[in-house]
Amino acid sequence: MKSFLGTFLWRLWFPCLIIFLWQVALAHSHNPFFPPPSKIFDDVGFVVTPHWIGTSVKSSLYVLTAGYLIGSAMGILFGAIIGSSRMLIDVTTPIANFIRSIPSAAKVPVMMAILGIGTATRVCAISVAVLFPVLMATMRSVAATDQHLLELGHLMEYGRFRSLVLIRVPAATGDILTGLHAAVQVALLVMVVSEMLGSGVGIGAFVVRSQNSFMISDMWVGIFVIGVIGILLNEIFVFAERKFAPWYFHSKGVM
Amino acid sequence: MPLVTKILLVYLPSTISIVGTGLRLSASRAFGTIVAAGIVAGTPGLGSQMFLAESSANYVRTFSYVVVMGIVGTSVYAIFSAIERKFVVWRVTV
Repeated sequence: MKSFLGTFLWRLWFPCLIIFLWQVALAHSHNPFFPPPSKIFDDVGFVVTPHWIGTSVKSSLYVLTAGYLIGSAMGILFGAIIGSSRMLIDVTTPIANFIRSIPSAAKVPVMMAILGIGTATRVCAISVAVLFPVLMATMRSVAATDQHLLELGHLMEYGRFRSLVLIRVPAATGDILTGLHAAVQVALLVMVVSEMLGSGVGIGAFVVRSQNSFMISDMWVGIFVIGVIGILLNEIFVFAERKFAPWYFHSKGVM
Repeated sequence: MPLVTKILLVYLPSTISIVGTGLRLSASRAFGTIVAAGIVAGTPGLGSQMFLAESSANYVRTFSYVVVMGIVGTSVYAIFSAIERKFVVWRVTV
């Protein structure tokens, strides 16, 4: 395994090349809506101030964390309960598939209709959007627990609850982490959409405000900050997957 | 075996099942994105119509658009699952 710094630098050369080509291609362009990276980097110092981080970024991260934690906790809980019973799976699958098919961005106006505009709406929209991928992943994996493990639990006279907590859920760790990982992107998307729709706070609102007032470099800075948050969250999950379910990700050959 | 033949006859066929899954997932995501674009930027379509209904406090219509989106989303998913099952006969999709 390469050193951490080596991997980091190795991953960095290609993005740097892309940014360099972008700079070369647009250095003399006068299109105000698609500025070269140098102009955007000049603008970073003006946008990313302690005050901006304390208001926009903090508000976004707060809503994202709250919604994500609530949604994923509910997803794991309900997924585990539903997955351990054949009858519950059959009853809930059509409804879950239907709700899952509704695009997650469409859940924001629905929440606005129910709860009005505010922090609660944004948190609820994110948690509903996160709930389903996590629930489906947990449910499928819990339902497909290795029969031998369950028989072992039966031998040790585990009841339904103990076999769920001690065998089924731990055996599903890998799939649950995959579900949690996939849900991060959904959570980010819903966070940005919910902020763009009239909440007035957060990075998404900042992007729309900059765009509407023709501060195009500010808009690009906002987009880059959202991207950076996405990359950091992704790295956290890659790390967690290696840490908590190494057997699963080794066997899939993705490490 | 020359490289081109190897790519066409070995590498590409062996990826079909995973590519099929990718196509199915990205079709759902494409639908989600066009709805999001409608809601945020007002591109004509289900998303903007739904948000218009929500903004004008017509909540019955908002929810009926949600149901329509569910039907369209499920159909997109079902169509791509069917295509996948047709081409990837050796793998049972969940």
